[in-house]
Amino acid sequence: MNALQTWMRRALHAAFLLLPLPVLAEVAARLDQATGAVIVTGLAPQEISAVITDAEVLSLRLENSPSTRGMLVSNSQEGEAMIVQPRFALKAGARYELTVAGETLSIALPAPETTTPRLVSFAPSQAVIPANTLRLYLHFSEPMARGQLREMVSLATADGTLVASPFLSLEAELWDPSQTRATLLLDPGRIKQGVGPNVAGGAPLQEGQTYRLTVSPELRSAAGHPLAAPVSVAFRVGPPERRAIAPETWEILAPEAGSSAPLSLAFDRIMDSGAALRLITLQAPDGQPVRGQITSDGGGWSLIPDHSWQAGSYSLNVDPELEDISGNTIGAPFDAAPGTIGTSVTAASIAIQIRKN
Amino acid sequence: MSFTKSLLAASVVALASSGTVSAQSLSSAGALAFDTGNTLFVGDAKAGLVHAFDLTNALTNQANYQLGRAQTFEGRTVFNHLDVEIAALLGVEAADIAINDMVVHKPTKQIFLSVHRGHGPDAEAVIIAVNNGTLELVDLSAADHSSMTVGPVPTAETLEFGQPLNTLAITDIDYYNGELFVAGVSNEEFSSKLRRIPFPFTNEISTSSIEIWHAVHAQYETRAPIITQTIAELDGEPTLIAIYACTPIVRIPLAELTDGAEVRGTMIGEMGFGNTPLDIVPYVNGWDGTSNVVVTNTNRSAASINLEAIASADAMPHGEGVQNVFSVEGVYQFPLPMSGTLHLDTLDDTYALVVRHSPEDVRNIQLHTVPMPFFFDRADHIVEMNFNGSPDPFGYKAAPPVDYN
Repeated sequence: MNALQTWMRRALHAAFLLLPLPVLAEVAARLDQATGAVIVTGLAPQEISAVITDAEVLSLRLENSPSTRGMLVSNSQEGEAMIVQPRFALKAGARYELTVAGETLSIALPAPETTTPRLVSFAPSQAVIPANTLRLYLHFSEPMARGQLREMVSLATADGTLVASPFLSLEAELWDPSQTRATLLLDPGRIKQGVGPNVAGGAPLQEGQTYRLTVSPELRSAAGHPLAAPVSVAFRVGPPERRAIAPETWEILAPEAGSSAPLSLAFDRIMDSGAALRLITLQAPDGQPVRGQITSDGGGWSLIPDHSWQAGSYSLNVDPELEDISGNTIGAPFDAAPGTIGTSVTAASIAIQIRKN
Repeated sequence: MSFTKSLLAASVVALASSGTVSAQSLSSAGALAFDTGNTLFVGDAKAGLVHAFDLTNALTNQANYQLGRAQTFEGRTVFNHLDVEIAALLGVEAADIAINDMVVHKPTKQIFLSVHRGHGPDAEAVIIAVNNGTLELVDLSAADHSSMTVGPVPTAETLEFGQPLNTLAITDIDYYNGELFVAGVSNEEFSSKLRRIPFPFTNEISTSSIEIWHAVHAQYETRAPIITQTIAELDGEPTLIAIYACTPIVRIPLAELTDGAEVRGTMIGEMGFGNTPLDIVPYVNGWDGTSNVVVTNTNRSAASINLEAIASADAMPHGEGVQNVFSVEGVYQFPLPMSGTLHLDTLDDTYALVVRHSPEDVRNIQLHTVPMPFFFDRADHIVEMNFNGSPDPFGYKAAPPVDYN
C-alpha cells in the first residue's frame, strides 16, 4: 500500500465517522411474526420518505420469481424503521427478497410444521359394490389441496390395466368444506344403460371384476405435504343396482324403551353414506328430533340416542333427495324409463314402535 | 369403516349466524357474471352463496386500450404468463394460485378474474381487475354488498348434525332481466336443479328440476347437472340454453322454470361424448348480423351455434326404439379454430377474450383477445399468408405492425 492509498483510506474513514449514524448502520429486514410485516431498519429518513411517496421504489418478491412484479404491500414509517405490510401473508417456508434503496435483503420464513396426510377411509366400504356405482368418497386425515385429483387418482383392473377416463371430468373438484373428503363421480355417461360411452367404451366397472383405486403418493395436503406412499383400495364389482330406493324394505332393529341401545336400519343395497347421514332423521313421539350419535357405512344406519328411548311411535323421515351409491332415489331409478317424467317425490316416513319389554 | 357425526346442539348457534357473509370475507370465488349495470356476481361455493358487489366506484373505462387489429385478424396478448403475474402480485408461486373464472364488464370493457391464493380450505379468494394492461386487486370492502344462499341450506334439523359435508360447486351464473340463474354440481347428489333468483335479492329462490333427453342415451333421465348456460330470446321468448355434463344442448323457455317445477327440456343437439363443455357465450356476428352462441370444450375445439337454428331446431328423436347418438348431432355446430381455452367472454362487438394455453407453449397461460366473428387470430395458425414471400392478397403483411399503447 503506497502513501497515497493510506492517506485516502484514512480520509475515507474520517469521513464515515462524521456521517450521521443511520447511514452507517447496515440496512436490515426482519419479519415481525405477530403482524406479518417486514421491518426494515438502517434506512436514511430521506430513503424512507422516498418509499412512502412512491411505493414503486420498493419491491417485495418471492426469491427467484420469474416475474419482476412485486407483491402488494403498504409502507409506513415507525420511528426510524420502515414497516412494509404485505397485503397477503408471506408464505411459510418461502424466501422473499426486498429491494429498497439499492439494497436487496433476503427474508426467509420458517418451514411450516406439516403432518403427513393419510387416506383414512373410502366409501363405499363394502367389499362388493354395484357395477353402476356413481359416487366414491375419499376421506383424508388432513385438509387436501384442490386441483390434483384428475392426475393423482387412477383406477385399474386386477391385472393392473388402467381404466381409461373412469371419472367425470369436471372443472370444479367436489370437496366438502374442510377439504378432507373428496367426491369422485364415475362418468355417468359410462354408467347409464345404452349411453354412447357405455356402449363404446364399456362401463368403467365390469361385473365380476376386481378393481384397485390408487391414490398417488404425490397427492399433497393443503399444507403441501405429500401422502408419501401410494394408497390403494381394492373392491369387487357385483351386479348393477337399477331399482328405486324403497324405504319400506329396510330392516329395522328397534331398541327397547328405557334403553340407550342403538336404533339400527339395514338397507337392501349400499346407500350413499354422506347422504344417509344427512337425509335420514328420526322424530320422537313428541315430534322433537332425536339427538344422538348417527353412524352409517352405507350398508346400514344407526342412531345411539343422547337420552334413553321413550315408549311410543317414532317417525323415521327419509328426504326425497337420498341417493344410493348408484344415484337411484326413492322416486326413480337413475336410469329412468321413457315417459316417466313427473315422478314427483315426497319425503318417505316410516313409523317405528318402541316398546317396553 | 364408517362416517360418524355427533349431534352437538352447540353448533346450531354457530351456523345459524352464518347466513350472510361480509364483503371482506369472500370464502371462495368461482363463477362470475355482471348484470347490465355495474354489479358483479361471484359464486362462492364454499359459503354456498352468490355475492353481489356494486363496483360502480371501482370501474375504469378501458375504451382507449387497443384490443388488436381485427381487419388483419390480429388479437392482442394482454398478458403472457397470466398465472405467474397474478401469483407475483399475491406473493406466491404460480402453482399456488387458481384462476377460476373471467368476466368482462361490457360498458367499460374492464376484465375481472376470480382467483384463489392457495388450494386448501383456507385459500384466500380475490377478484383481480385488469386496468389498461395492469393487474389490480379489487377492494371488495369498498363495494356495496349483498348475498343470497344457493348451496345446501342447513335446516334446523341438519344443523344439529354439525358442519354439513355437502356442498354445491357453482358451475355457472347468468343474469337476465332482473334475475340470476345459478347452475351447480353437488358432491352428494346428482341433480339437475336450476336455481332462479330475483336480483336485487329478496330471499326468494325458485328451484326447478329439469328432465332432459340425452341423444347419447336410449332413454330419459331425470338428473344430470348443467355445466354452462346462457339466456337468449328465441322468437321473442326468453329461453335458457343449457349444456349438460353429458354434453347435450337443451333449450327451455324461462316461463316453464317455476318453483318446484319438473320441466322437460328440449334436447336439440349433442356436443359428442368424451368431452366437457366449459363456457357458452352469446355473440353477434358483425359480418352478417346473426345472433349466435359460442361453446368452448375441454376435449374438442369450440363451436358456434346460430340462435335462429336453436330456435327452429326440431327436438332430437327420443323414446323407445331410438338409436343411440354418439357423435356431434342435431343443431348445426360451426367449428371454430379455438382450443386450449380455459375461460371465454366477449369484450365488445369485435373482440372476444380468452384465458388460454398459448398455442406455441402450453405452459404459457395467456390473457388474449381474439377477433370475432371467426374467433381466429392469424398469428396462432400456420396459414400461407403468414409465410415469407407468400402472396398477400388481403394486404395483411403489407399492414404496418400494430403499435400497441
